[in-house]
Amino acid sequence: MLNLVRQALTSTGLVSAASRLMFNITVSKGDVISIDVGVAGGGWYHVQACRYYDLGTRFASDRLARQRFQERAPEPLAHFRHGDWSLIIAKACEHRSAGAGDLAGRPGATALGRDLIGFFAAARDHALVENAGDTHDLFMSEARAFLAASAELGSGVLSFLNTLDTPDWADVPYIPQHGDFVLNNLGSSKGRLVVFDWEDYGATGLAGFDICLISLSVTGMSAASVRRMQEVADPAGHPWAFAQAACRASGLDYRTFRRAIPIYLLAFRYLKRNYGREIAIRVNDILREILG
Amino acid sequence: MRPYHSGIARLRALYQLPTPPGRGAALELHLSDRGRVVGEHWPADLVVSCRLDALANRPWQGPAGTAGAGECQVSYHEPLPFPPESFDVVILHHTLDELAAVFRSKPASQVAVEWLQKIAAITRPGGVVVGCGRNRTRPRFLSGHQGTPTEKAEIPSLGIFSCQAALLRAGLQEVQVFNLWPDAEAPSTIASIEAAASRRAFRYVLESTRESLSRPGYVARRLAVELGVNRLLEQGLFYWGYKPC
Repeated sequence: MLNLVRQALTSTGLVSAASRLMFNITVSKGDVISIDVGVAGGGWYHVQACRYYDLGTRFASDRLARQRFQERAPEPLAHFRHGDWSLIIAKACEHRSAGAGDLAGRPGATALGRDLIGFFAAARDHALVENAGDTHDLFMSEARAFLAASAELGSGVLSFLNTLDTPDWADVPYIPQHGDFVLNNLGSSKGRLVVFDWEDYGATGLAGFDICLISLSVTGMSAASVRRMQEVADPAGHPWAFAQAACRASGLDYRTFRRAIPIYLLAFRYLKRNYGREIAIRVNDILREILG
Repeated sequence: MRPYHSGIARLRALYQLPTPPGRGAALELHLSDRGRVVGEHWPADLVVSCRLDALANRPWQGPAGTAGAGECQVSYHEPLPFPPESFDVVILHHTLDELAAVFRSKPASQVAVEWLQKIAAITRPGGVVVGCGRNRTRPRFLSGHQGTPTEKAEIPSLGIFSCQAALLRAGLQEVQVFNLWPDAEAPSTIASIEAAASRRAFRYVLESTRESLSRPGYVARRLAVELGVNRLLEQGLFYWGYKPC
């Protein structure tokens, strides 16, 4: 397969056929192989390779994200298909993973914390002003139809689903969400926030969805964390203290955010429907505990 | 289940990375059951799994009648029973280290070079020899004194630089050597031992765990990364080299 990587890089004019290449390769538990390709004496490229589906949609999302968020998203360069394989090439961005300590604490206390609030403010520039409610209605009806068929969620969750209606999200702005805004997908490059993995970008526009996910990622994805986030009116001094400022940047009332947390979790469960069993079981457990 | 969820699936994906285009013929040489990588879905028209042992009692009969797959057992004291240039891919999962443990009277690196030469002879031009082993440059005190029974059946035969040299001495080209982690049975990452690539990979690992380190601990580790020391200390090696056309 590495011959395809070389072919893709040369056919797109990014490297010459004679270039000596170095590879750092990661095969994680998902379905994509990640390859950092270094050109001796030159730059680095990040290649994602998949033989199970086409990465064309992901490439389109990456391009849109780059267009909208500039240096906070990696720069996608090319999409390449050959036989079973689909490849995306992006400019590599040397970074470190973001940690809970980068974001927890007083909002804006760290460079990454400030960038995080800036990220939510930038996301708001792409809010849908007209027909936002209809768009939420459509997304939630799809999510409800999928979740209603899942017996594993238990009767309490299913009853809650049946009570949900337009007024529950009427005051939630429509802002395209990253969709998997967890610490693993955030990095720090030269001290600035970089956001990776945009494949679910815009799948939901429920403002606050990303804030909910990153808050849980920092606090710990558990029913206890969810309850605390729902109960605490002022998060100052808590690990998710940034959430209030992030909601403000998103034009979302913090009380509305707290009230909508179960809806965000249901939306997350729906968006993760094609991911591994591990995450589905984990979210199901949390939903059963808080709504069961 | 997602395709790379299991350790063996990730291992197979790594072994398939350098394979030449087309299905061709694949051979796995192993001494223990630990050294089994190829499975029934291995993408080759002919897959031969050959166990090297003290006794030879199930020699390979050739592709005829094997329905595209075959198992054999041959003595490591005998020449390999395959025609020259007959395989597109040869897999050596721990094989060189296991052979070094068998031929303890010889230097381990010499055993590795001799076997790589034999293996290169049965590899087709354009084909690849790909394998893994333990890194000989890793100090023993980092690995512990006793070792598991599996580890006792192996002697690390090559270090990061001697691995490169051994593959070249066997006549292979476009050689690439990597550190592998977290372990060779359920790997997630291979990082090139070339200085720039290695620094980049280990810098990422270090910086991503920085929160858990004291300031002096971080500085010491960062220094090791920038000096390129980590590649010498990492336990796993992964490598490949191509037979020239």
